Amino acid sequence: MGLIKGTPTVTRYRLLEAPEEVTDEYIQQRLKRNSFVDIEATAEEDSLGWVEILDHLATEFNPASFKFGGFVAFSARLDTRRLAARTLNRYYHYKEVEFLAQTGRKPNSVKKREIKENLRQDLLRRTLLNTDLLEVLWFQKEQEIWVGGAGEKKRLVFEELWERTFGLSVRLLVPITLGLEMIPKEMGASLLKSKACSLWEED
Amino acid sequence: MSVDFPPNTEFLDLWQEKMFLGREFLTWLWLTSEMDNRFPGPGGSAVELTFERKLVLETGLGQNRSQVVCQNPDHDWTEAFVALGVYKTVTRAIVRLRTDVFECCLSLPADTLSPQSVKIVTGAEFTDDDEAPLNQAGHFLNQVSLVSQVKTIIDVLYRHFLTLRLSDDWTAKELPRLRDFLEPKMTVPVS
Repeated sequence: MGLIKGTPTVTRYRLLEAPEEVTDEYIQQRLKRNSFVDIEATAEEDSLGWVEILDHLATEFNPASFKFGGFVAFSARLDTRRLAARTLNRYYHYKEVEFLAQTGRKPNSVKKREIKENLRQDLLRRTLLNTDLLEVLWFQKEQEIWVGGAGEKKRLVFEELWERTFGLSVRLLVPITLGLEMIPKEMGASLLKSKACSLWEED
Repeated sequence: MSVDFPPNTEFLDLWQEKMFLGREFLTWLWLTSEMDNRFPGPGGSAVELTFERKLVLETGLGQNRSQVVCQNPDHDWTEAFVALGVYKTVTRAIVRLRTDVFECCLSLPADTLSPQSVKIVTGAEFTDDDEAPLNQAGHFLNQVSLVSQVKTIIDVLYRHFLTLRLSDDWTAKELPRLRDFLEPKMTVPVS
């Protein structure tokens, strides 16, 4: 669950390099250039791009749509459609029977490939899309980014789109990276050298 | 806020190698909360923290991973204490946080320490008024504010743990304190 609906879950990142000046135009241009492209009427299997945080159909990105005081926010939208191999094979079987009735022979390998590809495109166009939304919040003062959701799949979607859009390196905040940020610099070496400690064994 | 990594260290390797930090933190937090559930919070405020309903404890990583899930509405955690005895540590917990301003429940995974499924229990600041429900933007900002406060509390507690963990007091005082607490709980009654 993200930050708009349900109980919020976040994954935290630190921005490792900040652009010199982050203006509204800077953000707007990059979001627009990488905005979501609708694939409803096509046979495309997936589309990934940005949409406005409060309206996943809008890709205008007026500053009022992404500026929220101390942070900017937008959503990554991933539309996917999948066609099961079993479904394709079942429909292919009907086509093969049809071909046999018309020509008196089974399709050769080239014809078989052509029928399958046409069928695949046709079935994909008729397959409903699944839409996933991933809210992204960029706290500019702290250079921290929150992604609404958790798990490797969501992290990879965010990292791909972020890299493509802003080209700025980010690093996941996990116990070791958080720890190195939190403790005084002189203790960093001790933390990096630390080993797991059992409750039951004396050091 | 860049972090100095040792040269030639890949992030994923380091994350894996130091995965124990989050697990030790949650284990310490759980045991300490069983003794006294009041912790120093942000800006000197007090935070009440209780582990409830579900604890996941594990040993090992990857194929060597061994897990036990303890569901315990009564909070006596007998199975979880036994799991500690076989070197398991807490990898995920359901935590209830109470401050002067709000009370909420959340799931806390040891591998990221990022708040998950944060659910407000009480707190006028974060709940919609039934008579005048907030619009979508207002609700969103409320959620962000709630998660932000929860995140700050977790960060403060984790910093406190790390300072202790890296000090001489860890082996001299803290581990003996935890062992003293655990010893009577480790004896499983024979039925």
